[in-house]
Amino acid sequence: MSKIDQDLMGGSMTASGCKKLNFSSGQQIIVDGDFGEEMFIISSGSVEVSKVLQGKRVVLGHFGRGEFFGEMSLLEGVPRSADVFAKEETQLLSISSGGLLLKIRRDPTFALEMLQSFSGKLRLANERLGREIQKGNTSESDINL
Amino acid sequence: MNTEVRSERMVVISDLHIGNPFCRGSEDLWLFINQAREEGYDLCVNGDGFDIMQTSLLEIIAEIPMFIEATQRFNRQNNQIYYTVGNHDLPLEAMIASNKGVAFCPFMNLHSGSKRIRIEHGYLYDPNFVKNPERYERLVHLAGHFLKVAPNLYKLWMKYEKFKNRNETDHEGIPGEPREFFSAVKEICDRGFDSVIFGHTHHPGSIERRDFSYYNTGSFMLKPYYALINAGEIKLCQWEKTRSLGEQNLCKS
Repeated sequence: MSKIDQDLMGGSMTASGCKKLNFSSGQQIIVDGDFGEEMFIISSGSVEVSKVLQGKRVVLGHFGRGEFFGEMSLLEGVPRSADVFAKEETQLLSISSGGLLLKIRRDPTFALEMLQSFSGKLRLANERLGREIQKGNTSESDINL
Repeated sequence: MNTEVRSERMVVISDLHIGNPFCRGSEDLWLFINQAREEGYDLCVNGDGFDIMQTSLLEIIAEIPMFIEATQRFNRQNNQIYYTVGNHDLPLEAMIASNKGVAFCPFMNLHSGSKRIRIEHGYLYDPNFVKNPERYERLVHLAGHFLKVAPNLYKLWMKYEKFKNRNETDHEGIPGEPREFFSAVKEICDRGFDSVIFGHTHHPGSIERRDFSYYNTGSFMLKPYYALINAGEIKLCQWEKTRSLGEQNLCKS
């Protein structure tokens, strides 16, 4: 049983069915390729997202207090796409798919904050694609959905 | 729509209900806003600034030039007026947002000092509104007619709400307001906020816990309370014209 599974069984529960989990600095929270059906909000501390590409660990980003991660597995049921490590003493709020509905019911502005975050990520992805097309690394026909 | 805001010095007021008969005496409001600008604070009107639910545009319109002038003065001084929407001014959203001097948002995540502060009107957590919004709206309209005849009826209602809470031994929130508000504060703070500032209930007060704090600024027109934010530290104060905003008496719930 992984650390996160143990914590999910034992963590303290909030009113909306979320669980509070604590991680120490350097501890792995998510393993690339694992199946998981929960997302995490950072109550305190921060995390680093990284992935091993061609044998080398590449840092993809950092998340701090109030930000969330792991939502792709929850929303799409796909395996985890990167590793996530705690950068310091970190407390997370773990939300399952059923818990997400209850969370949104009790804390509706969270839904708007999620949409804002997705919108920002999509805009960044579009800007990067635009740059790649300008550089000639890809063509418009390759990226049409 | 920008909900992430940084400000080191801000004052928050709410529930002005401009146009509503139970909130007469807007001269003091404009004096307060002017003082906030002179002392270099940003201002947040945390919902229900104008009241179209219980009044008409005709009753509101006389105050609009004062509001526009106040925002222009703030902007000239590089201070900002923020306006978060409430349930009594939701239909006026387009009108308020068209004033370019106002930063209009559904709620605000304020970064001040090292603190994250949620500023939100709070009607989304009112159990009466959530359970049946249409009935709530009809009752609010109906109450508006009674208030035109007897504005003081509202004060009686406020007393009744406080009295009702007294018998609830497990009530954790500010006296007078439904327990759902304090539950919402805990939900919001669980995801990385230090403090929450609501309005809506017209019951001013504060609750300070080890991990988080909650403030309700009440209705400025009933009692001139405001939240003063200075580098992330929040104080709930009662306004007196003769003193600077940072030196006012603290309000106790």
